[in-house]
Amino acid sequence: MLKMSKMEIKENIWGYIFILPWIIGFLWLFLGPFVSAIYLSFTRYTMIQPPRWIGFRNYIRLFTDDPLFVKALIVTFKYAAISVPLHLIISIMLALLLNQKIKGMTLYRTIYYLPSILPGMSVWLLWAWLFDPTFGLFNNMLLTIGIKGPNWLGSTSWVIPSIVIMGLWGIGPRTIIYLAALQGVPQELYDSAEVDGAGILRRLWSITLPMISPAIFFNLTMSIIGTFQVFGAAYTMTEGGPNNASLFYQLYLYRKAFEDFRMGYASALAWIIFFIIMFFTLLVIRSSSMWVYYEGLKKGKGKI
Amino acid sequence: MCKLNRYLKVAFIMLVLLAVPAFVFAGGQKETKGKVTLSLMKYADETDLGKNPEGYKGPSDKLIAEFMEKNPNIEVKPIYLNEKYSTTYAIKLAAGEAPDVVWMGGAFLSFAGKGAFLNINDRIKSDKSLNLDGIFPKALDMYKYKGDLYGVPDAVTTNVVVYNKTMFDKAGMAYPKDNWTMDEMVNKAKKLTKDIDGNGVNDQWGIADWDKNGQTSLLYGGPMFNKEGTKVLIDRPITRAMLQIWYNMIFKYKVHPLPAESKTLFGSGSFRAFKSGKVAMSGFAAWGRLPVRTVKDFDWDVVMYPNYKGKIGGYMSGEAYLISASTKHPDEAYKLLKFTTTKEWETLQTASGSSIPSLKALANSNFFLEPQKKPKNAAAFLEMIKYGTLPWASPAGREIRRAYNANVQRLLLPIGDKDKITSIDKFMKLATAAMQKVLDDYNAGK
Repeated sequence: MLKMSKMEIKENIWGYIFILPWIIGFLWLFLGPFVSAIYLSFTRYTMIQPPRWIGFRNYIRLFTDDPLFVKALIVTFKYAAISVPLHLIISIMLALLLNQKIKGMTLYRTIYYLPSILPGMSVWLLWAWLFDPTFGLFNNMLLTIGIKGPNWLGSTSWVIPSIVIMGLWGIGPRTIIYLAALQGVPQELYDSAEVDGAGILRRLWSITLPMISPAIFFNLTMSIIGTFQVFGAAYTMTEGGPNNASLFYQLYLYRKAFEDFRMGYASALAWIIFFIIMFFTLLVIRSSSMWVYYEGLKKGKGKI
Repeated sequence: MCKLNRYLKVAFIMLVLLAVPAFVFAGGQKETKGKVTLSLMKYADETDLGKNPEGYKGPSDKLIAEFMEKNPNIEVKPIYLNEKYSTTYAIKLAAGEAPDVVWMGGAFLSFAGKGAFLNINDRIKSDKSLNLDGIFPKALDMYKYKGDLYGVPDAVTTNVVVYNKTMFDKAGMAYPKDNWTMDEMVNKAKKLTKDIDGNGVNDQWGIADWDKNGQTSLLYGGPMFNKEGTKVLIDRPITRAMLQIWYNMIFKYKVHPLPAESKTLFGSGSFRAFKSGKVAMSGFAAWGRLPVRTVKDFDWDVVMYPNYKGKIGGYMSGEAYLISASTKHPDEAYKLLKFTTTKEWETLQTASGSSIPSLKALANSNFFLEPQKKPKNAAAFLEMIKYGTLPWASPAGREIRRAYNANVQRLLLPIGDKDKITSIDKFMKLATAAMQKVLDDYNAGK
C-alpha cells in the first residue's frame, strides 16, 4: 500500500464524513434487516410472539414438504426462460429500427418509450381487459380472421406467455440504453466494413453487436434480476391463479410474510431467491469476458 | 487534535440532522401528564371517510369526542385505515406498536390464534354493568376463541339475494318470496337470461355473483370446521348438491357469468353487476344498500337465500373492538371497549345503514329497517342471521381459503382446458384434502 500524504488522509476523512448519512442509512436500513433476516430464517416468527429458534426446520420444510415452493420456482424459471431472451432480442431489434435516419424519428422514439412512464396498476388493469377471453380486444381481433383465441390469463398454459407479452410493452428503458449504445458505434467501422464487402447481417454480427455488448451485458444482468422479482402483475391481474399457474416466487414470499404472518419461513424463502439471483448474476459476469467487448481492452483480458 | 474536533463537529451536526425527524415522531406520542392516551385502530368505511352518498360524516370522530368528554383522564387517538388493514395491524404488532383497541372483522380468529388480544372473558362476566343479553348470541359467538369471549360486536353482516323488480315485471313473472327454493331460483334465472342480439353472448343475465368461489354453497352445510378446529367439514351431501347447481348455472344453463368475467362484463366496483340493470338477481349484503340506492333506472328489493330441500345457509360476519394483549392501559381500554357496546355508539356507527346493529332491539326497529327506503324487505337481512355462518373460521383460515381457491379456480376453468376439474366429486376430494393438510400443518405448529 502506498503511503498517503497528509492531504490525502484529510480528504479521506472529509469524504467519509460527507457520506456518513448514506453509511448510516446503509447500516440501519439495509444491513440491519439483512442480518436479521439471516437470523429470522432459522426461527418461527408470527410477528406477534417473539421469534423462536427452530434451527433448519424452515429450510427442511421448504425442500421436502412444500409443493407450492417448488411450483413458485418452476413458474418463475419458466417466465425467466421465455422473457429474458425474448425481451433482449426484441429490444435490440427495436433499438436498431429507432436508430434509422428517417423523418419523424423523435416521434417514434417517444411513442415506444411512452408505455414505460405509465403507472403499473393502470397498465395491468388495461391489459386484463385486453386479454379478456370473450370481450377483450385480442380475441375479438383474432375472431375476425377466424381464430378462436385462448383464454389468456384464465388458462394455466397461457397465463405465463400472456404476462411475457404484456412485459414487452414496457421495454422502452432497455431500448433507450441500446439506442444510446448504437449511437456510440463509430461510422468508420461500418464504412470500412462496407469497403471490405460485408453485407448488412455481417455488419450487424461483427460490428454492431460486439460494439454494444457492454449495453447487452448491463441489460441482461438487470433483466435477470428483474424477472426473479416479478410481483405486481401477478398480484393484481391473476392473484397467482389459475391453479397457481402464475404463482411467482415473490408473490408466494409476500403471502407467507404478510398474509400468513410466517416471517421466519418468508425469510428462508428470501435467502433462497437471493442465492439463485446471485448465482445467475455471477454466471453472467463470469462469462462476460468471453463476449463483452470494451474499447481499449484486449478481448479476454477485460476485467470488471 | 484541534482538527479532529472539527471532523467530529461536522459528524455530530450530520447525526443531529438525521435524528431530528426521529425526535419529531417520538414527540407525537408523548403523553400529557396525568392523562392516559389510548390508540384506537379502526377500519374506515365510507361513513368515516365522508364519502357516503347521503353525506353523513365521521361518526367515529364524533363518538370519540363524546367518550373523551365523559372520561377526561383518557385521550383517544384514532387511526383510520381502509386498505391492507390486517397487514398493517400485523406490522404494528411486530413493531411493538399495537394500538390499545382495535377493530376486527372476519380476521379476528387468525390474530387471536397468535395471541394478539387480551382475554377479557372474566372481566366481562364479573362486570355487572355490562349486559350482553340484548346482543344477537350468534354475533357474540364469532368473537370467542377457545370458549372465551374477547370482544363485543357492535355490528353484523349477512347476505341476501337482491332482485330487479322492473325486470321481473317486464317478464310478467312473480317476485321471489322468502320461502322460495333453489329450483325456483334456477328456473327464474333461466327465464330471465337473454341473448337479445343473438351473438352468443348474453345481454341479460338471470343471476350474477350468487357465488364467487363456491363459498355460499359451502355455507349451506354450516360451519366449515369441527368445534376443536382439527377437521375440515365441507364435504357433505348438501354442499355437493349446492356446488353442482352453481356449476350448472355457469357452465350448463349459462345463466350466471363466470366470476372472473364479471369485471369485464359489468366493470369493477361495489355491486356493479346488479347496478348495471343487466342482471335479474345477485348476491347482496347490507352495506350494498348505499351504492344500490343511487340506482334510478329500476326498482329493486331483497329476499332471503332460497332453501334447498328445506335447508338454508349463508354468510355472516361481525365487527367488534378488541384490546391488544400488549396494552399498558387495560382498564381504560376496557372502558372504551364498553363504550362501543352502548346503544349510543351503535346508533351512530350503523346510522348509514351499511351494517346491521348487533343489538337486537335496534336491528328490529325502523332505525335499521328503514321502511320508507329501499329495500322494502330489509327484514330478510335479520332473518338470515338465524342461518348465517362465518366462513373460514379458523386461525389458519386465510391459508386454508387459498388452498381451497386454487382448486376452485380449476373447477371454473373453461371447458376444454387441460387442468379443468369437471366433476364436483373430484373437486370435493381435492379441495378437502388440500384444506385438511394446511389445517394439520398449522395445528402441528409447522
